[in-house]
Amino acid sequence: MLNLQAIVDCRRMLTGTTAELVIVVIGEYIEPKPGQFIRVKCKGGFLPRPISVCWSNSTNKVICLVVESRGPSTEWLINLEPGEKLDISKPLGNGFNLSPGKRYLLIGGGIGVAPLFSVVIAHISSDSILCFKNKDNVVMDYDFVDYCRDAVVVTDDGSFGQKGRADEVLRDFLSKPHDEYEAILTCGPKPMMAAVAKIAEEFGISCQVSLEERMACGIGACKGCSIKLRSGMGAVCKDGPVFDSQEVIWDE
Amino acid sequence: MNSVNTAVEFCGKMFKNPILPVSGTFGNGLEYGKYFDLSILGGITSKAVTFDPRSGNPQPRICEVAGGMLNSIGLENPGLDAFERDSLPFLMELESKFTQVFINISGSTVDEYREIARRLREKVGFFEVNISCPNVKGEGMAFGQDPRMAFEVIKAVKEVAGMTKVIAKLTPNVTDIASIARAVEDAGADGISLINTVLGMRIDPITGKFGIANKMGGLSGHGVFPVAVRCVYQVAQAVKIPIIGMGGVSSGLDVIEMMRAGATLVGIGTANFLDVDNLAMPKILDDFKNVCQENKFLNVSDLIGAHA
Repeated sequence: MLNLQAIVDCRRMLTGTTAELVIVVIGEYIEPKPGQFIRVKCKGGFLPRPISVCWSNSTNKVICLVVESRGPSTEWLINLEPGEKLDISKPLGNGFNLSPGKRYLLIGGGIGVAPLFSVVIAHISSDSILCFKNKDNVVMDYDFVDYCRDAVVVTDDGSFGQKGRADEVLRDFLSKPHDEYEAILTCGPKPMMAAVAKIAEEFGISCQVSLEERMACGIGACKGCSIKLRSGMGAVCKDGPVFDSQEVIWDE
Repeated sequence: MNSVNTAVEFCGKMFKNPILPVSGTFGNGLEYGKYFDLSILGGITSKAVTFDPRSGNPQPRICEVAGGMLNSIGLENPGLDAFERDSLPFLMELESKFTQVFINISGSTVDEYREIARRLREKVGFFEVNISCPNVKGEGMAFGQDPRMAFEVIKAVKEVAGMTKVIAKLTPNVTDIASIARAVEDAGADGISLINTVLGMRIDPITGKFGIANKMGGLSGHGVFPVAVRCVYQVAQAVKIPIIGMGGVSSGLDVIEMMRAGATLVGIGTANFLDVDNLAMPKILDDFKNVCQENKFLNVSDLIGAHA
C-alpha cells in the first residue's frame, strides 16, 4: 500500500516563528508544479495541514516547505529535527498558470512569498516585490534577489528595505515604465491580494492569486474549502489554490 | 487457514463487506476513486442531493477541535438535475460491480424530499434520507428532532420510492433517539443510519471569533465515537429494522465495536481526511479483516448485536 513518507534533511529558522524545512521523499516522487501544495500529518493536530511547496528538486527527491507557526501543528513542524519522519501527500492543487518565455511580476506578503518562490526557481523570468510588516518578518529576500532580475523588499514601517504597503508600492511600480508582464502573481494576506487584484485590473494586467482556506479532504470531495467565484463555487484545494483574480469575489 | 467471510445482508441485498463511506465526506466517488478501486467497498453514500443547487455556507466552514472537527458545509451541491446528469451514471456503474449505492436526499420541506425520491426512484438500491435538515415550515427545527416530522418525511419518501429501500439517517441531537427510531420504523423505513454529527460550537478565547462562520456546526471524528456507539445500541434495542452505524469510526476495531452495538453496516467519514494517501477506506477494511482473522471472527455477520 502506498505510503508516501519523507525524512527531514534539515531545518533552518528564518525568523523566530518561521522555518525552512527541507525533506527527502522516500518512495515515489512526483515533481510539484509551481504553486502546488502538499498535505502534512502533524503531531498536535487532527487534520493534515496543507503547506505550499517553496521549491523542490527531482534529482534528489527533495521538497522544501517554509512554515510559519500558527498553532500546535505548525509549531510541531518548525521544531522538527533532521532524521524525523513525515507523512506527506502527493502534490495537490492546480498551481500557477505559467507560459515559458514570458515575464511575470510577483508580489508577496509575509509567508506568501514562499509559494511565489516556486515560480522563480522554475526559471520563470520574473521581478518581485516582497512585503513584510517589519525587518523581523523578512524572509527569503536573498533567494529572490539571486533568481529574479529585479527584487524589491518593502516593510510597512521602513525598518528594512523600502517603506510602504504592497498596494502603494505596486501602483508606484506600474506607473513607471516597466517591461510587459504576462501576469501578476500574488500570495499573501487576503486584503493585500484584494488590493493587488484591483490595481491589476486598473492597469489591465492579468492577475493570479493563491488563496488559502481550511481544508479537510484536500482533494475536492468534502466542500470544506469551497469559495464563491463569479462562475460558481470552487474548491481551493482542487480548483485552486490559484485563481484568476477577476474570478474571486473579494468582498465576501 | 480459514479466511474471514466479510459478506453481510442488509435489506435483502448482499454487501461484500460492511464498510461504506459516509455522506458528505466522499463527494460522489470521483475524487477518492482516483486513489483506489471503489468496488472494494461494501457500499457508497452520495453527497446530499437537494432539489435546487445550494452554494452552502460562508467560510470558514470547518474548524479543528481535539479528536475531531466541526463542520457547517451547508449542503453545498449542484442540485437534483446536475446530480442525475453528472453523478448518477458513475454511481450506477459502481452498483453494477456490487458496491451498493445510497443516494442521500436532503430537503427543507416534506414535498422536497418526496420530489427528489420520485425522480430518482429505482435508479439505485437505497435512499438515505437526511432528516437532520432544518424544517423551514417547522420553525427551523430539524425533521429528525421530532418523531412526527421524522415520520412524515419517511412516509412521504416511502410512498414514492418503489423498489428503492428507504433508510432514515438520524441525528443524535435529540432527547430520545429511540423514539425517533420507532417513529421512522412505523413510517415504513427499511433501515436506519446513525449518527449524523453532534451539534457543537467553538469561540476563540483571545479574539472572541466563532470557530466557523455559521457559529454552530456538526462535530465528527473519534471524539464522537462513544456517542455513536451508545445511540446505535439504543436504536438496536428499540427497532427491528437493520442499522448502519457511523460516527468516529477509524479502525477495524471500531468497525467491530459498532457491529456489536447493533450495526449491520458501518460508515466511515471523517477518517477519510486523516490519511494523506486518501486510502483510509481500504486500510480500515484490511484492518477489519486482519482483526477478524486474528480473533477467528470467521463470519462477520455473527458480530451484529453480539454484545454481552
